[in-house]
Amino acid sequence: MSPTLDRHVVTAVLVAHDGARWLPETLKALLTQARPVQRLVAVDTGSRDRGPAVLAEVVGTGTVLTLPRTTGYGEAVAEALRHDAAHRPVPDDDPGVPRTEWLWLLHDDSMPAHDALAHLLRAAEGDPSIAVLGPKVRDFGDRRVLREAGVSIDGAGRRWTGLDRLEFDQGQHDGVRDVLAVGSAGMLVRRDVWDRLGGFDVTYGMFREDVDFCWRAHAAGHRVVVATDAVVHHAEAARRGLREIGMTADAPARLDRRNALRTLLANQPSGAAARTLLRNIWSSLVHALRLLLVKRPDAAREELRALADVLRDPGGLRRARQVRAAGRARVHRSVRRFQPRRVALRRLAEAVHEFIAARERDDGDEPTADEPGPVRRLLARPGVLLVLGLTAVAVAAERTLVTAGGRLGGGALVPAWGGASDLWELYLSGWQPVGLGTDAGSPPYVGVLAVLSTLLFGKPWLVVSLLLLGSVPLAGLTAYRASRTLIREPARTGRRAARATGRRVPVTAVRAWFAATYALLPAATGAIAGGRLGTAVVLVLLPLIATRATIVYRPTAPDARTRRKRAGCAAWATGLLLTVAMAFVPLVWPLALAGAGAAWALYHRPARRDLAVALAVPPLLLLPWTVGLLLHPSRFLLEAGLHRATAPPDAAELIALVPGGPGTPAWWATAGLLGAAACALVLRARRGTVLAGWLIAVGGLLVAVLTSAMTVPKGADEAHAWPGPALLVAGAGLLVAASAAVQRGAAALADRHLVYRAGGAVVVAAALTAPLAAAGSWVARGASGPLDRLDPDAVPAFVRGAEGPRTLVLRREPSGRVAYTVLRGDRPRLGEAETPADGPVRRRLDGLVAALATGREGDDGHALTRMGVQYVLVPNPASDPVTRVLDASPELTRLSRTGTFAAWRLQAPAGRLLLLDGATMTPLPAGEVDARVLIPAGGANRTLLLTEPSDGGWRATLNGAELKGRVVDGWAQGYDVPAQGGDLTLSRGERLRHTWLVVQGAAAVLVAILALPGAQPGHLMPTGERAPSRRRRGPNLLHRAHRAHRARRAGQETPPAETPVLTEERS
Amino acid sequence: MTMDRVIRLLGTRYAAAGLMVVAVAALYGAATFSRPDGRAAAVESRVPVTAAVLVCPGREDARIGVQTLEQDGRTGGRVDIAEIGGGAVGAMSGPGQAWARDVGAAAKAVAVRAGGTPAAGLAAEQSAHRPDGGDRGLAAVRCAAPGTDHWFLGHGPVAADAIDLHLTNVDAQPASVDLTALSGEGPLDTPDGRAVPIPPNTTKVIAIGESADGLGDIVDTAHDLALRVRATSGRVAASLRIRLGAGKGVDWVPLSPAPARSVLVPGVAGGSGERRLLVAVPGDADARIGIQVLTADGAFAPQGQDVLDAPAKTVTALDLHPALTGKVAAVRLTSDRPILAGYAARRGADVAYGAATPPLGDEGGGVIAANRFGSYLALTAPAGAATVRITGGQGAPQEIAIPAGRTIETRLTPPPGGEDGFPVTITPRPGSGPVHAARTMGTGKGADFRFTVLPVVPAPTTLRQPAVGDSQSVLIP
Repeated sequence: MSPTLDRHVVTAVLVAHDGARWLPETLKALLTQARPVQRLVAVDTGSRDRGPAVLAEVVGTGTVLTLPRTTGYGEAVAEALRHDAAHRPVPDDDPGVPRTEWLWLLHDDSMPAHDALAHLLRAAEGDPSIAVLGPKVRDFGDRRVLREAGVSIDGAGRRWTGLDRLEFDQGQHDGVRDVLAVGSAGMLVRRDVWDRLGGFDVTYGMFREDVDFCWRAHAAGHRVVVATDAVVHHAEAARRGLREIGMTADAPARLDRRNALRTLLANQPSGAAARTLLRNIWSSLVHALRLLLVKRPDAAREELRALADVLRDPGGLRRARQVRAAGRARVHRSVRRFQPRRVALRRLAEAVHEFIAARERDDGDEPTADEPGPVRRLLARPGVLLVLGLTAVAVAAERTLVTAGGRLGGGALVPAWGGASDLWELYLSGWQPVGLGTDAGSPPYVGVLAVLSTLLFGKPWLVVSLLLLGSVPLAGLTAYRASRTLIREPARTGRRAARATGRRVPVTAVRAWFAATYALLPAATGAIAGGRLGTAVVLVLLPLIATRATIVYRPTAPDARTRRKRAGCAAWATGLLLTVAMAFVPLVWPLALAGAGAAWALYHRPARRDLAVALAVPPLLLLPWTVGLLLHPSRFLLEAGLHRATAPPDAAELIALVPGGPGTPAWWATAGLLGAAACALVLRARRGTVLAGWLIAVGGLLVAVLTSAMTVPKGADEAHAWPGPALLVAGAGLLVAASAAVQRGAAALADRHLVYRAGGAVVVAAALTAPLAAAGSWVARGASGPLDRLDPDAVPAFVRGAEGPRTLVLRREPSGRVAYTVLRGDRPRLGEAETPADGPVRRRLDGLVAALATGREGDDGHALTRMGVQYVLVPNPASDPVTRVLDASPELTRLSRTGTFAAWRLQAPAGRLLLLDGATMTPLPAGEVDARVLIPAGGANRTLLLTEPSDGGWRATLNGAELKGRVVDGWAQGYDVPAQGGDLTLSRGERLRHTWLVVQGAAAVLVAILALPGAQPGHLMPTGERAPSRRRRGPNLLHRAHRAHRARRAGQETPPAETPVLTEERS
Repeated sequence: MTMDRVIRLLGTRYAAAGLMVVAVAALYGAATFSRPDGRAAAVESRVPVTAAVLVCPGREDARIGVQTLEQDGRTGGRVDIAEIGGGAVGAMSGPGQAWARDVGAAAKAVAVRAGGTPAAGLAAEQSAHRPDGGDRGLAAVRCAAPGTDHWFLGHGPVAADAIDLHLTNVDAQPASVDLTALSGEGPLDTPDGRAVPIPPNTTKVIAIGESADGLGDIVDTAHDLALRVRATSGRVAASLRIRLGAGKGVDWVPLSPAPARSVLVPGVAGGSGERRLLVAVPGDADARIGIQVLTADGAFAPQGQDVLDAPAKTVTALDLHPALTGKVAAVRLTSDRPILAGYAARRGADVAYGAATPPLGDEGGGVIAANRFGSYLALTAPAGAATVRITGGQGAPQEIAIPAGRTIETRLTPPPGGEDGFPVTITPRPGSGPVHAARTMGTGKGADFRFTVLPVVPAPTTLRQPAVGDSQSVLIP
């Protein structure tokens, strides 16, 4: 070692572990330092590569210490300092002047710059209280990328460098300044401080021991600074998983997280440590959940294991805290200024910005010279413009409906009174306390609505309004996104390009036309007017399903493995979306089945597993409802809500995609679309797309023709099937075909020849008439059909009561039928219509209602009372002939009459639970499903009548003893009550239903997780850099420069190893 | 090869285009032939009537006759006859039976309740004959079924000295009745006669024009009266008895059916005396009414009386005697507004009232529970020839053919032992047009002639029961 001029003695410790890849460069840099080190100790921890040989060759066998493979970094350094080479005397040029002993820690993958040590020492001379110094760390591969300039740790244990991902070093972080900690690669420590503090905590093994050490240095009253003039190039090989860690079999992520937690918990004063512990337990759980959601169960497991490691070892923690007790409280305040705050929020905001920026790039907009503000930029995007335009059209057409809120109803839609909890109750309960009571179970769309309304502030009406009234703009949005895969910028080559002179119609305009025409298809406006929530949901979901299905058939990715993975994800996503659509409109599933079959036969065969997943998930996830569908195939033609008869479409209307009924435009509104699609048939280009579109259209029309000719019953309602969903599919197919013609026509507009220009103009104009005519007629006529703002006072408040009195509502329909429904105290709710009672109870009530509606003499009133009916109600009494009949009925007492309802009362008191003692009936207070009631003592021959169908599911106990049930009146559940009476408990077992719902919920979550794209595995550790977007689709400026730089370097040396970076956020 | 050529042809664009056009055309064709027909009408079902209540007003020396219709082989059921608020006076145990009893002037109203088979086609009649005295006359009334809306057309206080409205509540809950009236001069607007309470199981006799309940003094100026009885809660059976004056005749006014645009008043009695056609327009607009008289010789419009302009909310009277010249007739009225029609006939020392009737036919044949004295049946077939079978008279059931647009009168001969009252059933034969009927019962000669008219209304044997369905669409428009 050559003599030096300063008064420092530097002992370098180099720890190598499987680092032969970097070692030669590191050694060379170390040995050729401008200010050389006086002592060098090299440690090898059981390398299995050429590393030990290289070390021995360069520094000599004497100074190489070989340790077992399981040695941690701190332990290796400690061992090295015990080695003779670390104490070898250094000749003193100027005895008497005190010298300072320094320790310089280096890794085998950290290459110091030529003058690194000199700069570090110079910085150290500035202040004697500086005990720890660190260099500026740049990347080993790309030497311009800044990796570290001091590190810190935030309250949640995140490593924090304050740098952006791949940030170039342009001196922006330069200067000598105090930091919480510096990395151990290139760390220069005063040896006396090191000895006093005991060096790195050997229990850490690896990672974060530097932060812990520096924290202790702070606590001992020393300064920790970073001197950015000194530069070290560091590959961070262990942290990035570029080499195996021999020390332990644990995953680096677990080790890192455990040590982070330890560092925080050991160095903070007790109060702060307790808070940190709680915060980190919470954040670990959330983070693990998030990792599960992005399908990285390994990482989630490591996260939880790390937490468990810390929690399992309170003794170790206590010992660590004892060691660090001195100065801990004092240093807490000074250290806190180095700790970053609100890291998660900052990262989230950056992620959002990056997401939006990525979208803007993907839309292919060239940034203009006069960069407008972000709002104007957002508004100028065609997708946003389209959605805004469609929203304006929808609001104009739905002007009478948008403010209806919870009163929106009519047609097929039952208003969504109540809150999300009501929907949940309806869905979770196996017994529906609706009408006469049924155990048929709720339709699954109630579950979907319950989930959505929970997300939307617990307001089901908000969900219904959004899905139904907002279906047009939402469908515009989804169709616009889907059009990306369909309508692409055509290549400007060949004859045509040469002929083109004028301004070309941008491809985004064609996409906007596609989306607007789709969103305004006659079935869409017809679905809104008819209150058909199901068709509206399918309208919104269909483009998404189509996009996902396209990926299943044709995944795009550079390598086969990613392609397979994407196809798999897309298959699960298709399954999930189909499930939601099928829950509202079951016909979607047979349509998907037929479509998949046709594509299998004609087009392309995807992996069988993917196809099976996409098609099998919906029926399985919707069990047991699917069983009912398969047993009664006519139910495939029904959809969510009431089954109302509308005028069936005639043949011309069907071909023009008009499903009939209110709210649909005249057949000529879609003539332009048909014309454009017909033109597309004779195009030379894009034959495959056009033919596929036409096949879909013809298939959809065929289904529409067949289904609309069928009369389908739903409960007691019979009507022809609504062909809306099938016509949506047909319309989408026609649009796919027509978009080819429109694109060709738009290209022809730029042609030099007048004939071409005129032809193109005709096609484009014809295509434009479709959305314009649909929007025009929709706005002109208004969106309301039977769907309207309902009168909330249709049912008076007095019909509710503790005894659960029921109200029989009658209405004479124009067809002559008398429709009735039994209300339990309140108005009908969304989703209840699907569960009509059947069997003897239905026949019995049918007969009684018919008798009541014809004014038959007799004691039908008594029989109605025994069914729990207390009130009879007729809506709109003035125009209903039933009113007169009921007025004349001797069994009814008229109660009140308004413009909206007339109400009568049956003579005897009624309720859900009736105590029959001879001829007297006493209603008892009764719950909705289960009940608990005190029965007074009385006669011997008393019967408790539960006015619910006796299906064997009821269980009653009196004073704890089981009561034997029997069937009363041929349908109801009755119990013989002994004379002494007592405490009666009525219950209904619902374990099966609840068990199934748990299974269903878990399966739904699992499918959702599998459907999410998920993070790329293989990125092991957080590097402390902010890296907002995982999937950069296009290059941003920085990225582009970086790639160009790499390309330049590629010629000179081997390309640096791809350095994957984990980019997660901690919450 | 041909096959190759076909495949190549299919591959060309124009062939594909043609194929698609053909497919769409085929779909159009399939759609045209498979269109469902709009909305299917709900199927009505018919069920036999299994319960019925009739109320005979009582309150005079009268005979009450009850008849249950013969049912094809079906037996069982029960008819209970009991005084309102009193005890049972009789019972019957099955279909095809008759029951009669004389009651005194102090008698309460009598309720006839049928359950089971005999309820179908149940009919009851109260008839009274006073050869002399202030109440001299022959009077008969069909025992009324309880209801909520009843119309009567008859003389007003100017022409009559006692107009008694008998209202009976047979149910266990109180009823409340609103009375309103139209006169020849217009509506009689008065706060009187509103919310008249009828307690359960009681009869209330209201003297029209004599009390506040009976519409008060305002009625006293009316020569003709259309009286409407509306139960605002519960239901009542209503009967109206008019006495023109001491010895001038007395009779019950039959119930008019609900206002309609086309009505037929059957059985305008023959002979001398006033035949006063009464037409009431209950609506708010004047009506223009065409009048046609159907006699045994054919249908004709009375000269100068063929079109009647009747003002709104008014009873318009028209003397048909000049046109009828003593012939038995029916009057057909067709109007542009719903109207009510009836008539008052005076002959000898008695008065009789008639009213429009619905046609006999689908709803059921006619049943006349008790025929006494000289009974004649006037049958009218206003549209299309008809044949009716009349059972219950002497000998075998007789079939009578009625030519289209004519009125035929036939005498009902009592069967042996039926002089005190015998029932008659009128059944239109299948294929017949609508038939309207009225029975005239008379006794005495010349100035001492006493008579009464009973329009025959269908006796329902079956009820039209609408299709019913459990559907939440009830509350959702």
